[in-house]
Amino acid sequence: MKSKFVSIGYSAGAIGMVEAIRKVDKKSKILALTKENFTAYGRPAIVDYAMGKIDDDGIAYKGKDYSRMRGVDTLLGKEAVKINPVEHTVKTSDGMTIEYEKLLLNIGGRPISPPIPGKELKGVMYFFNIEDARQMRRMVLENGAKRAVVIGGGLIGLKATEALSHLGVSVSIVELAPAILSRGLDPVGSGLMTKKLCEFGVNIYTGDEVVEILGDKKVKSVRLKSGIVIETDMVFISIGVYPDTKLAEECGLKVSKGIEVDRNMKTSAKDIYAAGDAAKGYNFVTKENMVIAIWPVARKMGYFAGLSMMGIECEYDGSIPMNSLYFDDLYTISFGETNPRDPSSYEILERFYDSRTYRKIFIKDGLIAGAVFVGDISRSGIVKGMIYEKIPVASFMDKLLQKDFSFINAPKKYRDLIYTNPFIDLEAV
Amino acid sequence: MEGPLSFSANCRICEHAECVEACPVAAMWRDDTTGLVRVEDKRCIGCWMCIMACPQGSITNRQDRDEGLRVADKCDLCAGRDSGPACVEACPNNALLYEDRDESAKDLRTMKGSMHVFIESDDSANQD
Repeated sequence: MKSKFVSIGYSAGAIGMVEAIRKVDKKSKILALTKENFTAYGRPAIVDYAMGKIDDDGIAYKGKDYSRMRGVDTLLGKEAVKINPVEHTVKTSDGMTIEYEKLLLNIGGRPISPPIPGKELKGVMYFFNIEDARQMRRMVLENGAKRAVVIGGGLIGLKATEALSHLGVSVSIVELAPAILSRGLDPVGSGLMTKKLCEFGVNIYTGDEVVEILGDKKVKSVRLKSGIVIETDMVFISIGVYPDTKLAEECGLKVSKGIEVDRNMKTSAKDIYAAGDAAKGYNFVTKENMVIAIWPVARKMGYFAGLSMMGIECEYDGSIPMNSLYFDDLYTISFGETNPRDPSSYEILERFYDSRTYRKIFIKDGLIAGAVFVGDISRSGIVKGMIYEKIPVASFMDKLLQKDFSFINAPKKYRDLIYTNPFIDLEAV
Repeated sequence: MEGPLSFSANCRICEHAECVEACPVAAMWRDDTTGLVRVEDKRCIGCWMCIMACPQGSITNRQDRDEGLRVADKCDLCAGRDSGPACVEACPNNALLYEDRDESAKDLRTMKGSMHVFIESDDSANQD
């Protein structure tokens, strides 16, 4: 089998690549292979899928129609096991050989599996892909599971909790750190989210950890370091994700806690590019390359990889960590620095508008370095945009915490910068 | 100009729309023929990634708990409205205009940071 453009993995990175290529080149063959038995889908939407709010068509990117619309050939349920960068070939686990001219690695991450005794018991799961979401539904709806322990109170743990709670499952979260969501949110945001979870009957154990999962073939309970034993039908391990670099390493690519790429998404091997949760893209605030494992960043990296694969040299300007975290109707959006180790070197603006509406903005050297919005998240993107465009805030700093802060409060020069970007009719391009 | 200033049609329908890029289910999507970026309500899961992404704060959340509605919402230039955008119709001073323009893409300013970089397409490749 042969294709000009090949992607190993069919998620946000591959979609970005396809969008870039198809903007210019409608004809060349694009092939995406994925080890999952499902076409490109919105991984962040597995929570809605697990809840039953959306079906197969709803989670599939652009409703299963995407590949046909963009002329992408797909190989589903196929795992790439070997890349030969010299011969430009990819071998699959079932012995197929695929020839490429340009290859994208959109391999993504894998959930961390901690050495907890008992993790092989039935009912111990992850919440990472669509299959995990299906399994969660089966366990609850078919096997009648009523209780769950979620190990790890980060983003994925929160999402698993939301889905479980929606399905009527009683959930206990066990988090090693003193607070849940301590990486994505500031302590205030984390506190408000904790309160929200408690309203929904979620039990939260912080500063504690699961030392053993107990049961006989099936999970029966977990034992915490503090000695507490929680009876349960399911355990979800969500302590983190690591970049899956095995394939890249084995074919000799430069890897160090993620696949190394330059600003054109090129890896250390000719004609091999990487994007997404396994690749270390540029972070323009810290000025270093790092994995920022979120959908928009993966898609943007994929877009630049696509340009680069077509020979269009367009330097990736970088991204920053950001997230939209929510539980039920409590929304939060945060980006950049939200929990600095050296708070004294930041000017910190913060305000409560009511008991559940809060905003905090970190300023360093006259520029916004990060922000947390809780409750009212509208217009938070404006602040994110100012980080991206490095807009000095001194002249309007007093407006940043106004409840109705909007684009109109931004300096005219900045508004002009964005407003002179006219509407573009793609047909005219 | 001094005094109050009113913004309308605040979605600029960016060439590289960050909201489209951020949407994990392609509910926020650019129509290939019209170029218009719209939210498909039926697909939107209300994850607010588009709100996080939009540098103009042009996207809001529309919700109704009783109706089970929870979707992103933005200006769509009153698509489907026979007499065009309502704001243009309502403006007494003709300060708002709605017109087709042939913007010369080459004049586009390159915006660092948000990927608002214009890429010229190869027209010959698009002719099937």
